Order: sequence, then C-alpha cells, then structure tokens
Amino acid sequence: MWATFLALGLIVAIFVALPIAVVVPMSFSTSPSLEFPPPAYSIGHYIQFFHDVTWTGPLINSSVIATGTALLTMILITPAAFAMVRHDFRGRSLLNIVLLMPLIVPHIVMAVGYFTYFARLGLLQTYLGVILAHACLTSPVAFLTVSAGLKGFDRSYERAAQSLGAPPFVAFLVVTFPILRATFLVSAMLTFVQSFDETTVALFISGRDVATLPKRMFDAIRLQADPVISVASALLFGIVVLVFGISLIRQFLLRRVAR
Amino acid sequence: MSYLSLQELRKSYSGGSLAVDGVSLDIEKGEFVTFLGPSGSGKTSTLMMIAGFESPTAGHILLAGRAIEPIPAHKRNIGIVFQNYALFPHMSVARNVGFPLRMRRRPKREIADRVTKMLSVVDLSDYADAEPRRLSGGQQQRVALARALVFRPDVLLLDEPLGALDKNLREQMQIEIRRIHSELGVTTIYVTHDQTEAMTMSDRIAVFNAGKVEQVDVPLAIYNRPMTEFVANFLGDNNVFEGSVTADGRVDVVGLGVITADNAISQLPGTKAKVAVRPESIRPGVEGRANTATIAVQGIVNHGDSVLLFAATGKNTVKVRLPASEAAGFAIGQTVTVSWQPEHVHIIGTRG
Repeated sequence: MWATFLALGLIVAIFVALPIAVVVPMSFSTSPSLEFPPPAYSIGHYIQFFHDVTWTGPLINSSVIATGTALLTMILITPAAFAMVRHDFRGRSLLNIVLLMPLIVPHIVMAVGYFTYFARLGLLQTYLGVILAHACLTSPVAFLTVSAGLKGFDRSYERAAQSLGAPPFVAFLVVTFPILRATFLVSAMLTFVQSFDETTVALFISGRDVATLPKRMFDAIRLQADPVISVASALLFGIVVLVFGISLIRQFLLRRVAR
Repeated sequence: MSYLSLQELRKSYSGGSLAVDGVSLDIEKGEFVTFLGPSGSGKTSTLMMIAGFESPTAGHILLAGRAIEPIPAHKRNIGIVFQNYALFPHMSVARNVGFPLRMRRRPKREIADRVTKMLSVVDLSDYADAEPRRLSGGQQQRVALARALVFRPDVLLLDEPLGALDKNLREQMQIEIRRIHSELGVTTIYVTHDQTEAMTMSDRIAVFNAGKVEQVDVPLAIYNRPMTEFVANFLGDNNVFEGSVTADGRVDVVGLGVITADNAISQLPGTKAKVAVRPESIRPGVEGRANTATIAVQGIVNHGDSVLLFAATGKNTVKVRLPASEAAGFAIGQTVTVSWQPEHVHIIGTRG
C-alpha cells in the first residue's frame, strides 16, 4: 500500500519535473533548432537572447508588470482582508464570493472582456492596463494567504500598541506588519510569480508595446522553433525558483539565528 | 466625585446577548479594584470598554469627571497588560518599554532615562537588550507591566495577567504587582476568576455574574457578608440554607431551627430568605454559641490539613470543616451537636 503511494508520488514528481529537465539543457544547446538531447553545450543562445531587444524588452516588461502587480495587489487586498477577518457586516459573504470570483471565471473570458473595454479606455498595450488586469487575477490568492495570516494573528498585539498610544494605522505599520512580515512576503511573491507567467490575458492586451515574456515566447513558437525560446523558458523558471529560494533561505537563516 | 466612574454600562453583541448588563461602579484614585467572576460574566468586556477596544451599547465611563467613550483607545492614556503579555517579538525589552514614549514623541534622552528607571522598578535592568521570547513567563510579565506603566497612565488595566504562570510564580507575582502598585500609586483594575488572587491583592472586589456586578466591597466583607447566594458560593466554600423570615428579622430553617445572624432582615415575616454559614465557622459542641443543631454525619472527606464532614438535616446538607487535629473520633452515622456564632452567619436577601 505504502509502496504503491510512493511509486505514484514518484511518477507524478517525474512527470512534473520532466519539462524542466528538457528545457534547461536545451537552452545550453549548440543546435540551431529545438532539439533534445542537445548535440553539444554552449551559452550561445543566452548571448543571443540578451543581445536581442525583442527578447530583453519583454523580460523588462514582465519584471515591471509583475512588480507593479504585486504592489497594487497587496495595497488592495490588505484592507480587504482586515475587513473580512475582523468585522462582521451586511453583505460580507457576498463580498467574499466577489473577491474570489477571478479564481472561478475562465481567464480567456476575462481576457476577452479586458480586450474590449480596455480598448475604449485606452489601456491596451500599456503597463497600467496589464497591471490592472493582473492585479484582478492575482487578488484571490493574495487575499487568501493574507487572510489566513490575519486569522492566526493575536489581536492583543495590536490592542497593546493602541493602548500604548499608537493610532490604528501606526499600530499596523509598526506592530502588525512586522510580526506578519513573512505572510505578506509570501503573498507578494505568489502574486509576483503569478503575474510573471500569466499568458492568456497578456496575449490579448499586452500587444507589442508592453509584450510580456510569455507573450513573446508564444509569438516566437508560432513563427518558428527558435531555440532562444528555451532560454526564455529557463529564465522564467529560474526567476520563479529565485523568488521562492530567497524566501526559503531567509527563513532558514532566521531560524538559525533564533536558535 | 470618584476618579473612574462606570455608569449603567451596557454591551450587547450582534447575536443579541447582553455581555454587560448595567454595570455601575465608582473607583477612587490610586485604588486597586479587582473584577472577579467566572468566564462570560462580563468582567473582560467591561475592561475592554474602559480601554476603548469595545464601545458601550449604553451608559457612560467617566475618567476624572470627563466622559471618555468618544475618545479612541490610543488617546486614553490607559495602560493594559494582557494575559499573553503581547510583548512585541521584533523589539528588544528596552524598545518594548520605550514604545509608548516613542509614540508620544518624547526626546531620546528622556526615553532612555525613563526606560532604565522603569526596568529597575520591575527588577529587569540586566535584560534591556534581551529579546522578549528569551525571557521566562514571569520576566515577560514584568516587561509588560513596565511597558504599561512607563508612560504614567491614568489607569492600569490587568486582564488575567497571571493566568499563564504556574502556582509558585503566581504567588510571587501577586506580591510583586502589589509592591509596584504601592510604589507608583496608579489606579488599577485587575480582572481575574481566581478568588484567592482577588482576596489577597485587592483594596476592593467587584463580583461579576451574568453581566452584572453582584457586590462591591472590601475583600473580608465580600467573604463574610455576601449579599447574594452567588457571591456566597463563588468565594470559598459555604453553607447556604433557605428558610422563612421570622417576626424579629431572623430566619427559621427546617431542621436547624431559628438562626441568629450578624444582620437582621427587613422582609415580611413568612417570606423566604437564605442564610450563609462558612463550614469552618461551625464547631462541635455548644459552649455558649447562639445557633445549635444536631446533625448525623453522612460523609467524611479528608483534605489533609482539614476534614470536611457532611450531614443532612431536613432538606439541607450541612458542611462542617474541622482542623485535622480536631477531626479524630468522628465516624459516619454518628450524631453530633454543632454550633456557630451569629457573627459568622449572614442573611442573604432575596433579590427582585
């Protein structure tokens, strides 16, 4: 029984890891096409990637959009999470559904919607437009992680701060936020990563001017099997690993210091 | 005019239940008052309204003659110590204690001086740079106390501050808190469900039950002259007998006869009233004591330092507590004559 589960788990793990095991070596290949296994290894594709503005542009676009999305999402969902966790009010459960809606509505449907009315607002092919759309897509996950952190937070810290003379917002800044820093950090990183590799909406509204990395990859693979795509994939993967690696290493170090 | 005055304070929650149901109380400047009661009796809700974390549904809180209900918590200048201490884990002990002074934008040097002085009051001068979680429970408690006192609050609120400590430390901290109180003279409200704590620490005790204050008085008066059956039973062990009022204001209990108490009751003769007698006040023999009864021993419980005898008379069970040295020779089934002095009996009026 146990062995069966172990075997199943291994198969799933291999299945999940295999694309990465294929893409990363391919990015170091010398082959002029997407070919696996690579005939020989070099960093030629990387040099090509970083010398081509049509690739570095989207990388910068994606970074700007993901950072902007993480900031905007955190600013929007933190007060929402406080309201939902701390207070009971009319329409609370309805609001909860509204907040989680982007999880349920298919992204393609939202993408078509954005495409139509962002055109009227002049938000197509702008950073602001993509950031707004991504903030909407990422808010449910960010909201859920921050809410979970807040539910486990002992309010007496905040009350103590207030009784000691801190106005509510100051109490949040100097007490609640530092104590819950890990929660906010994880939430912001999830948001960053989710925005960084979001494809569907970006495909519709990022256009040429603010094309994100996944959008550029999609365009590239449609035209020809350009091996530079594998570099973009490896970078995309690398950035996700880096973002989570940082938080893991930080936690590890903190725990060692605490001991 | 008292310093802190609660006037017909009420708090109801959205469920409709009344957590606090008309609490009125006057507290003098420098007084140490304990809110004593079981959980859910409204004592903590009352405290939270004084601190400003809950707003009263009705009634007023006056501090030095001024209504403070519209004032937000951070402007009330009231110190509070929570059961879990709520020390900020990301600040050192000194930064925790200095927090209220930084919030008040005091000059750096003044903050440093006052923190140093306060830490020496609570005997933690060597721990200024320590992280709070490195300290023992008792030390954390004292940091919380220092932090709540360093800004010279008008009132200090303590919400079951010793609940998380073990018994020995608790007794130590009781003495410590009293010492600090007499040193600084700050008006203090102490919330607890522990009657021993209330008895040993308070100038006065307010006994809470079901959202109301049942009785407010000095500890010995609460113990010896309970005004309600709840108070009689909540503080220590008690015998409460029901009987009918006689023409001269005494109470006639079936099986025990007419009981003379330290007070007379002004109810109509024949109406019901209750009397409370402490088990330790009932002695074997008569020896000139006014109230006597003959009882048959039905059970003997040995507590080590004392022995509790149970006996039935009429509908009532009589509990008699004897020092262990006097308990030898009693057996189940034995008939004993016991007696007690009027000053150890108190008649409880029937309320309402």
